[in-house]
Amino acid sequence: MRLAPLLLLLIALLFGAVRAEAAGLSAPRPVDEPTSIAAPGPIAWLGQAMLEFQRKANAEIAVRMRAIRDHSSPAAFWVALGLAFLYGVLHAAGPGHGKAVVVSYFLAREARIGRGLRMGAQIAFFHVISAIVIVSLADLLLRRSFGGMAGEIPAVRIASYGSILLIGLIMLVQSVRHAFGRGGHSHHHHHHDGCAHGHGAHQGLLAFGVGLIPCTGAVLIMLYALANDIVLAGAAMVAAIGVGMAATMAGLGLLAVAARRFMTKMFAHHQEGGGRLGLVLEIGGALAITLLGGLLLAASL
Amino acid sequence: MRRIRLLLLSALLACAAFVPARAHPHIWIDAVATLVFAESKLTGVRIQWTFDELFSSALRDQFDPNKTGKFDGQALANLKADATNGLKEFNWFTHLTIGGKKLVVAEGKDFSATIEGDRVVYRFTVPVVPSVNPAATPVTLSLYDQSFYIDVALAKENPVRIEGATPCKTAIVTDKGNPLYYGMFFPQRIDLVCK
Repeated sequence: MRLAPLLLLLIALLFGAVRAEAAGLSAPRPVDEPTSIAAPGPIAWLGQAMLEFQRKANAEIAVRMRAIRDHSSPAAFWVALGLAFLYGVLHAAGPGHGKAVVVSYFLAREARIGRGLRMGAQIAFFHVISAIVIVSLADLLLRRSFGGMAGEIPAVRIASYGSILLIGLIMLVQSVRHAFGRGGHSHHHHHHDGCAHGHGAHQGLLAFGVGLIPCTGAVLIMLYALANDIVLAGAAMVAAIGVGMAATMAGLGLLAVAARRFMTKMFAHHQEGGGRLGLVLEIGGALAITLLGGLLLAASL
Repeated sequence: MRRIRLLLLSALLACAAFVPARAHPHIWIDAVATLVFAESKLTGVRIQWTFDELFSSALRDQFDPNKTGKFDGQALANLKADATNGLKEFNWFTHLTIGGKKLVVAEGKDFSATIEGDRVVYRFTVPVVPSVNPAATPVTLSLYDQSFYIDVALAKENPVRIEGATPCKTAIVTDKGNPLYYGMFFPQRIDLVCK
């Protein structure tokens, strides 16, 4: 397969993803008259089913939380936990939640499967912590917090988008240095030498940035828990949402890792092509992350 | 074979990346619409929204912190101001077309917010001025949040009511001509059918 169309496809995918994620991660904005085209039957059906499920899940969670508050059902807690987990899985599959960042990151660098899993877990972890901490703080200090507002606190958004932008820039600088600092060595070989260390910290900071803005569902659950004196149960449910999200994100990270390996292997016998592919992936991924962080930061200032 | 595998993998990634980029719904509303008639002409639509329990709890937390069971005084004024600010760009989710033209709803008249059981209920009226005879001018009504941050659905029981004398009846249809949420959702549309 020719390299040029593959590169174009990759770039198109990454930028499409960046656009999609930018819209998903930022606060909901009013939309003009719909210009959507009706999706084909099965996809529309899937969309409706997902919406129905979310409506029911939300109602069921509320019922269980009430039961926990009233001590009226011992099973309520576990059912709520299970629902919260499912909600997390589905929610991370939807818009936002840093999917593009995860995919870009793992396309951009060589990584073991374990990293993909860890990244997903880290993002979800930060989502959870953030929901609990931010909501509790806001509730205590301001008594003004309400569903969805956590992401509106300027400091939170700046910290989140700033982190993403910072990592993107670091990755970009690294990838450009690789591009110029290498003669014609294979990317494989070089990576193990100079770039091995520092990944962990980058990954952590990136996960922090992506996970910082909590999802509204988690915020609402925490608020309810605080209002009804079942804080531990609320925190446990938010944690369950986090685990569910981590599962989905990890799956996605894995997919990206596998995709990169597959493509690298495909070009292994093209000595020049292999190096170039690695470079394109590295620069493309870094660019995508930088753009995403930059756009979001600019939009929130 | 390799080519096919690569294409499949790219398609898979593309699907993951291109999933609808609008917000998931985080707030749910059960809506009831009452079409108000006088002398066979439509004079307005009364809308009732019942919010889901979790969001209701958040609203009560913020606007009824002393747990009086009511929204009143300054708290009610703040609630109304917040609601109006947020809703005017979205036409208060009330998309009423008269003779094919959509009515602009900047403010809900006679707005009230009450706590009923564990749920918060908003009520407001959209006046139709001048009043319209649906037998002569087609009227349709659809309730939805375009951005889908809020999922508005017609209540399970008797969601569409008529008040006042009129030969017209209501029909609820799925509006396939108005795809939302990246083409995956079609809102319900209430048509007035007059013989």
